[in-house]
Amino acid sequence: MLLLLPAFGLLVSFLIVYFTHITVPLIYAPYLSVAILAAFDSIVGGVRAGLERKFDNSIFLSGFFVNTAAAALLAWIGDLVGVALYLAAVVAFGVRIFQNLSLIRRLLLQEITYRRDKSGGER
Amino acid sequence: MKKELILSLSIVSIMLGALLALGIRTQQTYTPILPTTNPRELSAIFKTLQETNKKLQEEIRILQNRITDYEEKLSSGKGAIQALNEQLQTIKVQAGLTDVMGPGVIITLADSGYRAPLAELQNLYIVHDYDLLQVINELKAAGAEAIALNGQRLSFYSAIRCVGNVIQVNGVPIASPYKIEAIGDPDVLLSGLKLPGGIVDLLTNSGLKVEVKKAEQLVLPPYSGPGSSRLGFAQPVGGP
Repeated sequence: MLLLLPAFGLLVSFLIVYFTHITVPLIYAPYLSVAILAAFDSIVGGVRAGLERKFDNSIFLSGFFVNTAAAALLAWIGDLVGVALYLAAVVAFGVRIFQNLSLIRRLLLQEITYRRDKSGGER
Repeated sequence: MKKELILSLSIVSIMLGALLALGIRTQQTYTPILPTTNPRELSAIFKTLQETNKKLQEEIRILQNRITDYEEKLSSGKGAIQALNEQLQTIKVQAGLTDVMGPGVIITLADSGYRAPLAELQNLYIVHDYDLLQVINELKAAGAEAIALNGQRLSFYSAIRCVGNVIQVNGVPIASPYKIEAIGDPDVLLSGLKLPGGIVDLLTNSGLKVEVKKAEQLVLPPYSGPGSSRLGFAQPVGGP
């Protein structure tokens, strides 16, 4: 049951913000998009670390905040110098998200087969 | 350790949810009303709109000044006639009933020197009434304020047509070479005529001699054809 807490939190905060009709100024919209991507990457990375039993809370939390801020900052600096630097963030995070997702899938499958074997052996 | 993971994950998930909602709302708000969400393109559009706005405001100011001017003159009684007279002068210029001068362009059209092998084909190598009409139409579209063809000022009543083997304008026969003088912004008129695939290209390709040049000072005569002094049928509706 405790496992559903993150999903529940995501849903609740999403609905709250969605129905309060808050928006960011248009100039900052691209940075927000990059920040969302970074945040998503952090979460996927955290789940993977948890499944690998290598999860470190401080690394995870600091990674989340620093990555999100750095991605937005990079995009902003890119706009200042006229280079589409946000593309770098999009590509880097995009690749990593897919890698981590496939790793999570594999780890989950391993876990499931391991448990099934164990229970089968006991019987 | 497991609890820690889930708690941190929850915190981060809450923030991601908020960010996602914020992003979606922002896109929903701006995408339908703006042609693009690229800030650089938007700022360019904004700048042009700002300049247009500035010009329009300047125009409002001029028009308002004119209104107060008229009102002052009208209220002083005696000035009413003067105000009306000024208005009359403006309208006369617009109707082409006065001499006008100003910068513009001169276009000269002449029949091709080419002798067709068959007499019937010679028709293809001379300037026709519709060639002139097309050039004049283009000049009007480019903002020409006064136009004369071989010294005949064109007004609302002017007709350009083929009668026998000559062209008549305002009822006066004219012959090649045809000289069209137009007062207006010379650069705009010129670019209108010289559009790629435009009228000058078209006429040149069909073998006519076309010459276009800017003129710093043109003086056009007043219109003197039919309808210039009196109208027989049209009556104003309403008014004093």
